[in-house]
Amino acid sequence: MTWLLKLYPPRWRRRYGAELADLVAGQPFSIGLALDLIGGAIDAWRHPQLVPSTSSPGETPMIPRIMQLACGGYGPEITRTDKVRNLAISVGGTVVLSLLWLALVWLAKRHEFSGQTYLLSAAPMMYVIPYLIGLRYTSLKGRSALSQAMVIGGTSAVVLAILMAAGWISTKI
Amino acid sequence: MARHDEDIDDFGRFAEPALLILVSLAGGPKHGYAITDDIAAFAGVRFGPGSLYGAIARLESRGFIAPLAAADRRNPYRLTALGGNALRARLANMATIARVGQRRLAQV
Repeated sequence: MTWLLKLYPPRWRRRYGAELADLVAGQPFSIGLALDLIGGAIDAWRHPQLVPSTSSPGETPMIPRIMQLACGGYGPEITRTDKVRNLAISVGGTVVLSLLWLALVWLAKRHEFSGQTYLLSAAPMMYVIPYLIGLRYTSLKGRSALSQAMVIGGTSAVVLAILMAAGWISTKI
Repeated sequence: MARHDEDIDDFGRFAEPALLILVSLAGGPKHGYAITDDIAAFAGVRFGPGSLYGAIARLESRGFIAPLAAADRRNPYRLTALGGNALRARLANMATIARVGQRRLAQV
């Protein structure tokens, strides 16, 4: 009957396989026992989170530990001041750019500017740009000025291009 | 009343074996084979290995039981403080239900 244990997930077998085999080996074959093991195997596949990714009790998984060291040792060291700066730039920048954008929309309407659709399409950039600039103090901290400029400028350009394309499409439909 | 994460209600069909495993381990650490025999002795039911280890996996993942160092292939388990609290809460609840049921039956 122990061959039915092959139906269980490998991780589950590593953790409980020997104990289960020990228990199964002492029992004679029966339909009830086979169904119980099949039901247990289905349950084990349906709930893989029940068994931690360790091969035996008390063993510490190596990969999560390495990931922990990598994150602790190689990620940017973000201070409280950095977080405050990031928030200030994201929120403050969005407020300033939104006011600027509103002024532009007002001027465009006043002078009946033909590209008002594109101006309206660009509205999300009033948040995207400050958000990206704020990353200089978090995700992009410690990167060279060139890298930061490429990420901020490149991402802004791509997002703006998508928004302009959407604006153009909106004039055709 | 026990907190939700200290209860075994959401164990589904494994709730009954889980409860009996906790009762068994309240009497001291045991491995799977001994748990099965103990439950058969005090509750009169013998769970299949699939059901037993489905319940053990759930109890262990919730921190209700913990494995001890294995002397051989048989891995003993012990009741944790969290598991003890869950068992106490469940037994108190069952005792209340039994008391109410018996009182009402006496009036029939």
